[in-house]
Amino acid sequence: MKLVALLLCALALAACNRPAPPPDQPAVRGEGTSATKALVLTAAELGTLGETLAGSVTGTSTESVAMDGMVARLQQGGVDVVVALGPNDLIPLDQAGLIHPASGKVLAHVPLLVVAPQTAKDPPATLAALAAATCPIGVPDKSAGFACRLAKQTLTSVKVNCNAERLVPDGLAQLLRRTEASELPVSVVPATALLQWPHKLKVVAEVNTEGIDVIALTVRGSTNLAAPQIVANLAAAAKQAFAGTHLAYAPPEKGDGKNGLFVYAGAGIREPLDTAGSLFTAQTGTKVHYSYTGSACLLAQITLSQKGDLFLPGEVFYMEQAKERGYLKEKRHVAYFVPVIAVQKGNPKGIHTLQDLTRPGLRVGLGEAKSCAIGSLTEKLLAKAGLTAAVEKNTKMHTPMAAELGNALKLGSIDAAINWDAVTHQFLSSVDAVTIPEQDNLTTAIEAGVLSFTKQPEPALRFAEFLAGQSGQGVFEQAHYTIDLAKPVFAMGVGQ
Amino acid sequence: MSSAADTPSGSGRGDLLFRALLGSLLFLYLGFILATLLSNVWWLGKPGPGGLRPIAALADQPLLGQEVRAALVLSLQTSVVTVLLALLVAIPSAYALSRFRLRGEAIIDMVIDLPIVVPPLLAGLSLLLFFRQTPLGHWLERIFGDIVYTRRAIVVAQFYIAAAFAIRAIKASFDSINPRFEAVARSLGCGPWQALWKVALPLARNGIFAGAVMTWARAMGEFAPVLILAAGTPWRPDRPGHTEVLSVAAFLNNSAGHLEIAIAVTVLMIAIAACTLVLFKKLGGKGYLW
Repeated sequence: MKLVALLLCALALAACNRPAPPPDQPAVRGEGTSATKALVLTAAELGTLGETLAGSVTGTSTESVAMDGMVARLQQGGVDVVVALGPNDLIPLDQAGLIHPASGKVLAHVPLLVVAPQTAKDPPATLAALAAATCPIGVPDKSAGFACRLAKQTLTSVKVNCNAERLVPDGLAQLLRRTEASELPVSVVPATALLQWPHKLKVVAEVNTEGIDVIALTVRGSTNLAAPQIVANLAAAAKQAFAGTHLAYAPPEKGDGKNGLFVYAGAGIREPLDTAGSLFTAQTGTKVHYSYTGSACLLAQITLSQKGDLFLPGEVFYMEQAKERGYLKEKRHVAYFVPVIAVQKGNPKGIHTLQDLTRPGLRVGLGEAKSCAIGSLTEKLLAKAGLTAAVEKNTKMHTPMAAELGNALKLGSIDAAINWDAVTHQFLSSVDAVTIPEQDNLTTAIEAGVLSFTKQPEPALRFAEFLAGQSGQGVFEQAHYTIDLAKPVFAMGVGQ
Repeated sequence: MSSAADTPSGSGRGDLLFRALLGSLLFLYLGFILATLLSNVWWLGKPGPGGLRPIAALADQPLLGQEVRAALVLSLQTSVVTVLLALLVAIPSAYALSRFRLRGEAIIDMVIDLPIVVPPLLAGLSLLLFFRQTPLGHWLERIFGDIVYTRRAIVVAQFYIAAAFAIRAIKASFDSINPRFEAVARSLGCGPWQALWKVALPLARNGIFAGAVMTWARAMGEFAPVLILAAGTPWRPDRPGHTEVLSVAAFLNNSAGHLEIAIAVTVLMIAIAACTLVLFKKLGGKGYLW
């Protein structure tokens, strides 16, 4: 009897843990339609490149649309595979649930190249040299789409002022032509441009390592069973076509991460992390599973389970605790949290400074110092301003989570709260932000830590670096997190 | 004389006052409960500062709608498995508690109530500790496969608490059946199994169903132990192994600033709970529910 019960238990557990098939699992197409060509949608930004690639794979027809219009096109249906720019351009596609991130295969890596006329002597060969030189630089203009953004990002990273006069924006074909004719001593172009418009140019350097990837993915809701095969064929075709060029993509060698990564993460940073996880999966094939809870609770989970790969608490404080307990292998910086004063929409109480929070009759909400980072940072912030006791008089609530301060403002139970910029931004429909002058303010950071008991250190570190790198930063920036302290989400003094 | 039977101890006016006072307090509390529940619905439909109704956020973000649906499905799946497992354990246990003279019955009773009384968060931590830090827990994970941070953990966490409810409810039902019926059956030639199967179980049937319904409601609402043992892995279109049951969906959306979704899930859970309570009463369930 006992044995039977045990067996039943086991059966029930096993049945329960079987992942349910996704609701829109492709239905098998009727017989006789297997000859239907799969529709491959390519990013128009790739020029003829995408269509050429797709054309080299049998059983496909192609269509091309700019990345901006891709979501709308996919929502119309009928597309089986996309060849898109990534990873960051995939964000809207992923957020609308239009693609299978895990199906992603990188076809090519698009670095940014510094090109110069063949006759040029000692053209600047590094980014630093480019920044230090005084010569004009040809850069892609807005018509070049992603290349314009990529060039801007890269040049800004070495403190080249993108609005400076030495930058000469132009279309990609024009840039190459003008550089070839020595009209421009040096230009920065994406590697795809050289394939499309062959010119006699000297490629001086690849100046960014992250660049942009060309990724092929299957589309959710596609009924074509051959779609995964087409993605594989595209990858094979791309490997052959790009061998030896700047576009060749070298997959990471060590650690396949096929079990997926298990990440403990603060529940407040779910939005950017979910997106970043999908992009990482699309790029590397490694799945990312999150456990979202309050940071203190995560620490308890880690302590008791001694299991998992990464730790992303909402604040440095918990990272330090993990480090003290010996759970941390290494860590990478991801983003900043900058406190602001969150007030009711339109600022009806006219709150402009920390001092204003002491005004009699005001209802103030603060984070609980013992349970969340905004709480402990607020405590230090008020102590620094010498306002602890005065603000305490007006404090009607202490919440254990930053988001709850936003909720309280939204529900009208308080007039003002000290909260993170990113969290406040989520509530902008019913809340306004008042900035705190830099000299009075304190900030903290979000970091990604690799746990000491991870069984897959390489993929784990790769994900931490992904978050810390251009792609991850892009995701956090889009979710309105402060990436660069010089450019906080809420600009100083604007006070919305 | 007939009026004296209604008000044996005083005048009609005094009686009216008595009824009015006690009754009004009852209705005050009743109104309070209903007001808090209905305010959720009211808030969802009330235009916000931008003139936008919070409920519109659900329509704006189809993925969030899908997320809630996926959470509902997972909640239903896991809670049904939990109820079956809980009944499997609870029916025999409740019968034993009700009929056998056990040594240390008071202690057994107390221990069975513990999962209900212990703060849910701590129950979750204890479960995590048990599975990951003790040899017995390791052995169980070897036999049944990974439990911690998987969907099995949802069932385990729900079972841990729901089974205690099931035992309580079903024991109450066995207790209400006169043991003489089984004794008579035995005297007429039934074995102990037959007496249980043919007499006690049919008589307790409604009570067992009612207990199952309450156990199910409890499993649906389980939160903190699930969050800790199974982890809050949210649903994503491409993530097959999510562990986001309804209660976790409410928590995750609340802490990510999607208050609308959290409230919408709350309304959904209240509706489900109300339905189960009606069903429970219809089946003749009684006794304390905790």
